[in-house]
Amino acid sequence: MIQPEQQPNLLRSGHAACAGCGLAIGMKLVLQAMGPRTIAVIVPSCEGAIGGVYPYTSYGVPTIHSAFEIAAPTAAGIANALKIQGRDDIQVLAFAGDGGTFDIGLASLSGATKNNEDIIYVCLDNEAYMNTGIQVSSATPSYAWTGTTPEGNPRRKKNIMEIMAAHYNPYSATATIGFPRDLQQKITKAKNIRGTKFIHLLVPCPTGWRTPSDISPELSILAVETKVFPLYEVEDGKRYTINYEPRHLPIQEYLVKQGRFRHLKEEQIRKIQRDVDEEWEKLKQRARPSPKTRAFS
Amino acid sequence: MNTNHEPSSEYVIPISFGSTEIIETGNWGFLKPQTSFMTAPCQESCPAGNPIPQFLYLATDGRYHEALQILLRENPFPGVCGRVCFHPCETDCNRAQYDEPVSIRSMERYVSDVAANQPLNLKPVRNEGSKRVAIVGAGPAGLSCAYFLSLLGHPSTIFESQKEPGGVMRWGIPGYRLPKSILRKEIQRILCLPIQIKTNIIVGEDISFDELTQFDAVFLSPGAGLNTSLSIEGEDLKQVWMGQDFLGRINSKEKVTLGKECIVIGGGNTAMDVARSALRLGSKVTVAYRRTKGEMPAIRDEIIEAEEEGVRFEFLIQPVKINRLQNKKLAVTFQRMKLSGLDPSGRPKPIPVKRKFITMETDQLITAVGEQVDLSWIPQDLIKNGLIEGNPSSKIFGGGDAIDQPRTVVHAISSGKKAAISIDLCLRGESVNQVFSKIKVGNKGAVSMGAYLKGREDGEWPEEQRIITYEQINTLYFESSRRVRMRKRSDDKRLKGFSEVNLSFTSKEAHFSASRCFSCGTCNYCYNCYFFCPEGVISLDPVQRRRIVDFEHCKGCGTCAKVCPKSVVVMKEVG
Repeated sequence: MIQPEQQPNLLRSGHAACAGCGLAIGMKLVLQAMGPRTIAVIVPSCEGAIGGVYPYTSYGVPTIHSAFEIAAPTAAGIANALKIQGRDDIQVLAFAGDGGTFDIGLASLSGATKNNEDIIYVCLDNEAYMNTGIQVSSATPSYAWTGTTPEGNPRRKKNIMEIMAAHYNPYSATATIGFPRDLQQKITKAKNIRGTKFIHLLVPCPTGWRTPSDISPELSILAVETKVFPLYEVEDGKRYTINYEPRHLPIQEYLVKQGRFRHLKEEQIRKIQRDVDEEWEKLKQRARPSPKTRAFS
Repeated sequence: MNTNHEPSSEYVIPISFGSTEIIETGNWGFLKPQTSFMTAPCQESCPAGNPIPQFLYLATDGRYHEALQILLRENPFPGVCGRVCFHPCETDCNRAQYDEPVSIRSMERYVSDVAANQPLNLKPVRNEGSKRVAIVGAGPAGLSCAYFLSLLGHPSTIFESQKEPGGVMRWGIPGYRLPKSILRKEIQRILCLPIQIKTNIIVGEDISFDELTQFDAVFLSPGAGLNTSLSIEGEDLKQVWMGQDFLGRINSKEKVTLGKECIVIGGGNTAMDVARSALRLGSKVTVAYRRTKGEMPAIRDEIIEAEEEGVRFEFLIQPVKINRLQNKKLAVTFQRMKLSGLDPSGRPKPIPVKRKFITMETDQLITAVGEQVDLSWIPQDLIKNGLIEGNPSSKIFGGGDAIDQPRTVVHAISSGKKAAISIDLCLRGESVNQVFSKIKVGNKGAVSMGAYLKGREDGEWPEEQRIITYEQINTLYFESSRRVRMRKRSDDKRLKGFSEVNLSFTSKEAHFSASRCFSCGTCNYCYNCYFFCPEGVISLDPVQRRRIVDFEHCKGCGTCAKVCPKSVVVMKEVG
């Protein structure tokens, strides 16, 4: 079998992402695993900026630039049109950011998922409205600095996976760029499932997270190893599987590398650690015994 | 990417058909990734300079034949070294600081066993001005020298005093550590090259030293074959044997009958070989050593295996007198010792504890307190401190246990390689030191034959490489794991004969063991840079071993340098 990494790269060079962009890495890995028989939907966000300036585009597959809040229904419309045409070998992929998923697009995503539309929805979560200049979203973690939360975000990050699981859709999974093989395996798996598939993809943003341009993959791995962002999947809204057993590193290792957490006080760090541990315990109780193998090797 | 399109669709919605590849985002940054290989510490500490990360990379990929060829370029005895080497590579392995060192020695053995029947794939260079070289002694040094000389296009003649080649590997090391069939195969592989071997020839008796000097160059590697005597009363008794003679008799398949109990004097590898061989002949064995276990010069694994098999150890005693008792037993009187200060070699010095003696009764005593070089046939001007010292100006070189270097098989191989290169350089009238500084592997004395062959051929010498430290390894990308220990023959079967104690890896164990290598300082195509490049400008070709970066679009973010687990990629300013 051909490994996803041996397939052609469908995010062309020359795109306009910032140097070291985690989102570009994420889109590149997802598109590569999707393959050329794909139609993508993007929304106004960094995805548009990465897409290039008219009349040029970096996407190697047909892509529709839709409105901010309707990535899911746009994709559903295309999927249904393809179905009517009898072209069932083409997959429809929707890309939206955390703003377009957690906040503004939530209702339309819920509607499409309720109908179990045959799409793969990838939420590129960089934990704030980065494209418009770093404003807080409901995906921003507690105490993180953004332009609109100069003292740190007072609210916790919304648990989008639980919201999706509550739709009893066939497949939802978390993934991050630091574990590329795990991510590409999940995309490959999603391609073979009919119905609404949801991928929650954590993509570090050097600009918004206030980090150097070369540590996006490292941060992404640390997010998993510190249990901030566990890798797991949910099938039919009830079967939970943890894909990777983290090394249980202390939360500081993740926070200290990011400028957006520079102002944190001891007690805030302890609080984040408590929340993270609590969430991990909750997840573990739901999940089947987790495998010991490392996801990306 | 060209897409056929209908321009009329533009009237409905704007569509981009061009590719952003025309935008040269490479102008965004001035730092670009460069590949810069470093030398792994394992390779530096291997006296033979074995390309360890490279052969383990090939082994991980299941390319065992290529792995063996790459080993054979630096070492003609991978099967022997894979069994008997004292593996300094594993001691210095960077992974040892993370969890446990990589099983380098066992992998060398596995690779050479799996690919053993493959013919030698190295082509000797064509040498118009080839010379004839005489070699004395067909041990690891002599055979290596002949092997490397052949690769350099010089035929050689080896004079061996015994009836078969192999030296210490043939007559010293017992079969339970090194099966003779393995040795025979490796020697056969060497002797396929243009090498003439004359056995049963003693230099000084059957041929004179002067006859040797009629060759274009001479390599002396007679080994250290004389037992050091204890110089104590009773040493000449019938039940007192010399370690090397004893091992020689066993290795010639002679029937050797030992007494019920046996004391072995010494703490080196010969003492361990003697003790464990005596055990296999049915004796109860006690090893007496004048220092403590920590100072024993024997390889650690050997001591552990001897203990496992039931060898008893008595430390801090030194024999002073041997008496023969009425019942034909021996009574050995030992002086109690203690450690105090350091001796000239830097080891703790044993000194006698006054009036403290112990006596042990035994049927047999075997001494293994060191070996000396037989210098009776060697001209005085080539002798220094009881050892041979070569004289390049008269085209005479020395190697192996007879020169001033640690007495191990791998050091002997290394000396053979260095001598072959020196001989080639001398015969072509070139400076030895200058070339050696270009082909060195790290700073611990090893040199690379591969680098020499390449430099000699096309004048391209490798750039000097730094040694990669543990701190430069990005351990985030490695999962902690235990090393696999080689299975051993069960204790009860082990002592019934001389069959090999360590059984080989299974293919699964071998693959896992090889994949544990960090590949320090070299690229093993882990795909990290490829996966994590946001621009998609890196392409890899593991088969051709190529890594190409498209600088026109590389924004110089530095991610590939940061994610390289072995710091092979560095960001450099490009003009």
